Amino acid sequence: MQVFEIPQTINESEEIVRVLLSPIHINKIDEIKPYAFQRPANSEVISVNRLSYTSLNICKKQGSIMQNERNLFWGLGIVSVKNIKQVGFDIAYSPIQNHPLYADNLTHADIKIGYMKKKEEEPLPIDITLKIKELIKLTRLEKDPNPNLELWNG
Amino acid sequence: MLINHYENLKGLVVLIDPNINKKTNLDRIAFLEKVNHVKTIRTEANRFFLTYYITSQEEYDNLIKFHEIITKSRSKIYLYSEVKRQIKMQVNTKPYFKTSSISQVAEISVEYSTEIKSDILSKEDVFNSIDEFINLENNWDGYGAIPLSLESAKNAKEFISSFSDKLFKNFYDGYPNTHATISFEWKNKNDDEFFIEIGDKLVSYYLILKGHKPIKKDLIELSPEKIKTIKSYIKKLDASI
Repeated sequence: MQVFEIPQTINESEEIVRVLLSPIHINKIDEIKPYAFQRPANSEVISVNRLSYTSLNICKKQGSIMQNERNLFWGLGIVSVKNIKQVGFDIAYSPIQNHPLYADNLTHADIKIGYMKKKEEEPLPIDITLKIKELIKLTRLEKDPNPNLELWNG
Repeated sequence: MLINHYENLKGLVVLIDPNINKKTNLDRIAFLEKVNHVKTIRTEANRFFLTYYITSQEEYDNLIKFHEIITKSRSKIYLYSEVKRQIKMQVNTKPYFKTSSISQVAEISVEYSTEIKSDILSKEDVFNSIDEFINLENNWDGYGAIPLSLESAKNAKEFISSFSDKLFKNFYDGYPNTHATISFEWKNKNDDEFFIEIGDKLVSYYLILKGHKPIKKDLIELSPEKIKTIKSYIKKLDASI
């Protein structure tokens, strides 16, 4: 079996992927919703995966775990590390291993927005909001061509 | 897992015995009649369980009352997020999810949405959407989002309530954020835009008009004077076309 190591440093030429569900992240005309790239309350990071070291099938499997009766796996939002940095955010490799709640994910990374709110229910500073909007504009959407199949595109 | 105190009810999503109607041998009509005897119950039914969205002490009290009317016993209310977590961890959930005919009560089901459609221009419609955002469940986006807080919703309603219908002309979008706040956007044909994010105490907003320096305000209190200023910004979107 071929084993390859995932480098700790994320290269600028890499692409990053965010699993998207519908309708929660995607509107009726297949556009990404503004909060699809927001981080949870009390966190400064947006959860993503390193596309170069994962596969569309693995991403789809993750989506199938995240989906529920109301929101089904839709596809992926893909953005380059170069664009993430151009917007003014940073990215860090953050593999998930032996977590009490989440399955192991060695391709996991965090987009760091560089701002931690003082408390929940507090708006973001406008510059952060504008950066997130810019990031969404630079994100390419890949819709799952065949949602009924277990694997991406069969 | 059982909720036996009245603390931290705000935004809580709970579930109750899915066999509730079966246990009392009520038919569909009788069950719905019973529900009508209790005010302000917010619920969603699906084939696994009944969920209740708690937004106030009154709703919680009514839920208890409702359960006791139906079962004639002490109510058992479970924290929805905890049960979901246990399902993910593949803990045996048999005690909570037994076979049931919940579809019989589907008439009281409510669909919750996360967007205000841009073709909806009345204040009432925006208010209704705000209410729906309060009722989102924890982790509504799959990445750990929390529902719109009651205080943020109240502020959003106060903000919108002073608007005339004219001010909705360029209304573009309204949506909850993942951290219990709400955002509204106005945009005209030139892509000039006004954006505001409303929280429990503070707001942030910006106005971007082509050919002008953007106006940005971070984390400020929303006073009547500020609302007046914001209205004048939104009017500028009309004037700049």
